[in-house]
Amino acid sequence: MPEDDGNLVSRRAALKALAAVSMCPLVSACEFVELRDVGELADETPFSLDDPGLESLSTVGETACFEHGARDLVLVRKSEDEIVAFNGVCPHQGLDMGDCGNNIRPAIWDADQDAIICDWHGSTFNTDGELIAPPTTEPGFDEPIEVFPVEFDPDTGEGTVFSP
Amino acid sequence: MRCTSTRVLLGAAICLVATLGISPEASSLPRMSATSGAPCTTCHFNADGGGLRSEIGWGTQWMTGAIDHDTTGLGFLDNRSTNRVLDWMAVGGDARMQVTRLGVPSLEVDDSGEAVAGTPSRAVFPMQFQPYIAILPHDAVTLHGSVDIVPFFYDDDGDDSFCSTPYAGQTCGQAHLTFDPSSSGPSVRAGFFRPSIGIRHDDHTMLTHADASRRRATVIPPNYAEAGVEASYQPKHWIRADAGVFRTDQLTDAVGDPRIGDAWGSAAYLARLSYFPRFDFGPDRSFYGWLGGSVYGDGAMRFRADQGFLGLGWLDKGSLMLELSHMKFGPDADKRSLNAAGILTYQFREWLIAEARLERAATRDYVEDESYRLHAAVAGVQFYPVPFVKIRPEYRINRADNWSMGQYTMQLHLFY
Repeated sequence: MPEDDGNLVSRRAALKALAAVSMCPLVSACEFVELRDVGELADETPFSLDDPGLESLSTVGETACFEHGARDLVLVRKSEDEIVAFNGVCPHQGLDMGDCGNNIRPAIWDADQDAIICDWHGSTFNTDGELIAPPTTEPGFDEPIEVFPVEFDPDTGEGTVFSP
Repeated sequence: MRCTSTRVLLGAAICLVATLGISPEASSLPRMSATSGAPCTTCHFNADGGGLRSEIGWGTQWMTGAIDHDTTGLGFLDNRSTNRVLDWMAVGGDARMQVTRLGVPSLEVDDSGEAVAGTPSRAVFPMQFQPYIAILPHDAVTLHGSVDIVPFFYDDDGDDSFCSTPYAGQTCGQAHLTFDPSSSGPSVRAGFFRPSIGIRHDDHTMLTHADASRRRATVIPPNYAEAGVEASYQPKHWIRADAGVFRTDQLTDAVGDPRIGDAWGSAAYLARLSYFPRFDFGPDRSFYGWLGGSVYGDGAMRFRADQGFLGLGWLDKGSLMLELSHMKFGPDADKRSLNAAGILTYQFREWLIAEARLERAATRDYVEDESYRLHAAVAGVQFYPVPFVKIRPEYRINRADNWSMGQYTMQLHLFY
């Protein structure tokens, strides 16, 4: 068996190369994540349906983007009396759920299930944040979404979002 | 002993192929064209590369591996000399498994109420299991088709679609007819296929077609396809021109602008010109290049992608590829992206190739008066332990305006 003549090497040499490749998970020690300029976290943020960008919440079933300090949320007018606030970033792949900015696939409110559906991969969350349908592309995914408490007065159209 | 280990390996490979899911990504590698000086069609049925391999492409890969078939005990495969199962039919396929962290860092709050960066979870998932078929009823005619099976398995979201693709604008399959009456004359493709936009890369995450203002930045994924007709003409080995007209169904979804499909916007156009110089300075000193550009846009002028690309290959050694992309969104160019990528490869052996690339995407939103930037640095190797098997470990650093992430990824690619 030639040691190395072009694309032919000994089995030992090839297995060494294969072993070297399989050591790649050790590189995970070099993995990192970093966020910059995230802003301040808020304990509570008041809102009014007259605020710019929240007019859509005058209609039951509609959604709106909302900044709760550094957090981007999606508000849903669930009923005449109730507004629900979800994290605006889907836990599946960290993609936008809000119908604002440059998001081409905003989340959809499903009144039949009382659930919000991320339009990117179909992750569906109920109003407790529980995943009731996994993303279509990753059936084993099971992370919930963060839900923020909301006080809302339908008579005045004013309310407050609180941190959990 | 050898037979036992060989059977285990063969069995594992067959099981993996049988259980992998499918997505419609092709497997073209621009470096192969650059380092061989041959157009994509030398090794692929597709004019812009990727997908089913021709006899030359199949034969080249059949000989590429650190261990050959005699050593693995698969010498009986040596009797094969073609991927044609009949005189008029060729088959093939690509199957890939990926290990990676999907998504971007998220803002989370720890137990003490402090903001922390959330790490995306690591996922092991099938990227692709895509069979190909080509039927050649006549010397001048080729029918080529492939179906993406994974989105069909994954489609349980209850909507009207019959398959779910993870990227907007992706397709679940492609099919087209190629009419090529003479090698030096023009050829025509018609059907549902990817227009010849810029360089066709083997990676969904490339930033050359990215809108940095979007969390899912890719606008035109590699397996984007439209219904249409495209003509190609390469009268000499050093020049080629392509022109085509397409529908805009997938483009509308990819860009996220429903008005693209309105009225005149229901048609998209493509024009591309490529120049292929060669420089021969003696044995082992042959260099190949390509230089070109393409324009792809819709009739309503709501989207246009201009590409410029340059490739320089050293025969069987390495390649350097540079690509520049400009995209405009909206009839008044409400948003523009200017992106660039540089890819360097070096071939230690036919079965071991090192690759490094730097990418940048910069998007300016004139309506929001905001600018966005993405950067990526990727280093890895492509290792072919045996013919038709590739292992591709990479380390990637991605940086956006407000986050950074470094991670390793691993891809197992089985093909035929």
